[in-house]
Amino acid sequence: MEAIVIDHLTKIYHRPRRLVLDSVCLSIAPGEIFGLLGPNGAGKSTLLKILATLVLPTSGKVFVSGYNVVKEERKVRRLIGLFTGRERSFYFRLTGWQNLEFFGAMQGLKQPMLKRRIAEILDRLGLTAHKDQMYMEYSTGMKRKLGLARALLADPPIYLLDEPTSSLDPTSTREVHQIIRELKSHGKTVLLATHNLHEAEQLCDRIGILDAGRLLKVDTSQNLRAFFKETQIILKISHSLSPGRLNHLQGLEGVTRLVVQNSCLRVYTRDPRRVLDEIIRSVHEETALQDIQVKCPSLEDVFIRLTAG
Amino acid sequence: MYKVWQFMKRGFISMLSYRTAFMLGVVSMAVGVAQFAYMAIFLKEGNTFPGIARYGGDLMAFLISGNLFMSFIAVALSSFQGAIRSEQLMGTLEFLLLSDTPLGLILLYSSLWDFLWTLINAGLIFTLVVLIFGVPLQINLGPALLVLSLAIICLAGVGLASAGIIMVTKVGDPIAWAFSTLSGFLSGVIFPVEILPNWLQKISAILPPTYALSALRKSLLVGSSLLDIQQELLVLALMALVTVPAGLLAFRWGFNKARRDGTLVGY
Repeated sequence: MEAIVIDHLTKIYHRPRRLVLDSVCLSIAPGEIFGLLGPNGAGKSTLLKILATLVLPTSGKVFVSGYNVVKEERKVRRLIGLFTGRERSFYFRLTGWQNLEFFGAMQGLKQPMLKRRIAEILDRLGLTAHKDQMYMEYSTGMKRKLGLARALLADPPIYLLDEPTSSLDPTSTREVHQIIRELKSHGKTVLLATHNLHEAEQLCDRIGILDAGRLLKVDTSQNLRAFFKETQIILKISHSLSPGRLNHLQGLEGVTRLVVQNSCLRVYTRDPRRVLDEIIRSVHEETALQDIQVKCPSLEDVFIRLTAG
Repeated sequence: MYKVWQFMKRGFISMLSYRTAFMLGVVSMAVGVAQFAYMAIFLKEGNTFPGIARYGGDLMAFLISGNLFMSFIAVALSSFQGAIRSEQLMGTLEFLLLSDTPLGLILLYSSLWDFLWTLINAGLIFTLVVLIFGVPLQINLGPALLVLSLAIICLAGVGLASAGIIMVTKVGDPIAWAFSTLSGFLSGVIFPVEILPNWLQKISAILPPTYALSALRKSLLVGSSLLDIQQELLVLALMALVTVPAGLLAFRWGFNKARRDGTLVGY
């Protein structure tokens, strides 16, 4: 059974009326790390909140481990660990430990298992030294880690993580990445909403690109990059090429477009091996070639191309 | 001067943005004036106060019991919505909802301390009043606690509805406001219900605190037994049968509306 199934999910908010999710369909397998990429306002957080039963869908069906998020919300809640990244989500005057103890108890965890679990997680996240500090005295990074600790407390099979590394320093980011990898190695499913393309590429088995509520593309990062098959050949030249020469290059079979910027010529092609020699030869006939680079499309290129429409 | 204007403007815009709270505030002022007017009519009765004879006739005992009971009304009506509001402000509501504990229980647990604290306060004040002012009391504790419990259950139903409304309006809830204002005015808290005009007495007759306060005063001030207050108890029980399910329904409605609107954590 799939960990998460989303079937034509639409969410419309009223006052003002806005379409936040537009007939989204998606399936996530158990043990998969799925990255949800999208610009601000794309609908990532709303999608996560619907999965967490905190927002009701307008139409469509959503299942978590086979349970309907609208009709079987209590069963769904037991299966998920949510991280929202909001700093204001703990009791400011309780310590980190007391906060975790409170939320753990609410999740039905009993002593002494709860205490053991808290100690273990705080240690894993490097927060043990700060466990008796009031939450309001925590730094931003510590607050985020405590949020992650709360999601991990009940050891649920599915994690919904909304930008878990934003505003973390590189060391903490690496630690969080390691924890996400460990979750996968323990067979947990992770839905990771992020802006960070590098993070998505590093961690996720598959990536979905969400823009203005529409899920534009879902695939592995490798396939997403290959989808456009547009390699850039970047040539640094001494003098501008004549219009005739540019027309010649544009006309080569396999060349999709040319961009000229001062002394830089970018040739986009789906078949670099076939056109590279001819491009070099042709450019060389008119001007000196100072440098040449062949650049495969990055996930960022794919993301920008897709979200720019 | 421009800075002062900016503060005034900010206050006015914020106040207007909470429209329900704004309207309720205006009406509260009008009700407050009426309340004092009827209190004055009551005091014109002179030194004998025949209207409170059935509660022992002591004005201080009458007023103090009314005042202390109002603190229970306030807790029953506001503790649930207070708990919701507080969790919204802390940003913790979503995570409590996600926990294995049903929201209704979370509200109940959050309110227990308020009820306990009010009970301790009320007990202390009563003891002090008796010791310092020598107010005559004939306490029949069993019936008094039963009345108080029934009244709290009955009003907790209204409190639940109020918590549902506060999830939608965020600030300003007409249900708790109406119950609290009308109870303070019409349930015999600071003057007997009988001095009110007939049409206001009809409204008083549908308010649970009217019966609760009458029965509580009888059991605390003149030592009435369960049998003596059975009529009030029956009315309170019947009212609880209506308010609790209605409160649960209203709460569920508010909760789902906030989830539909995506405003669960808004405040």
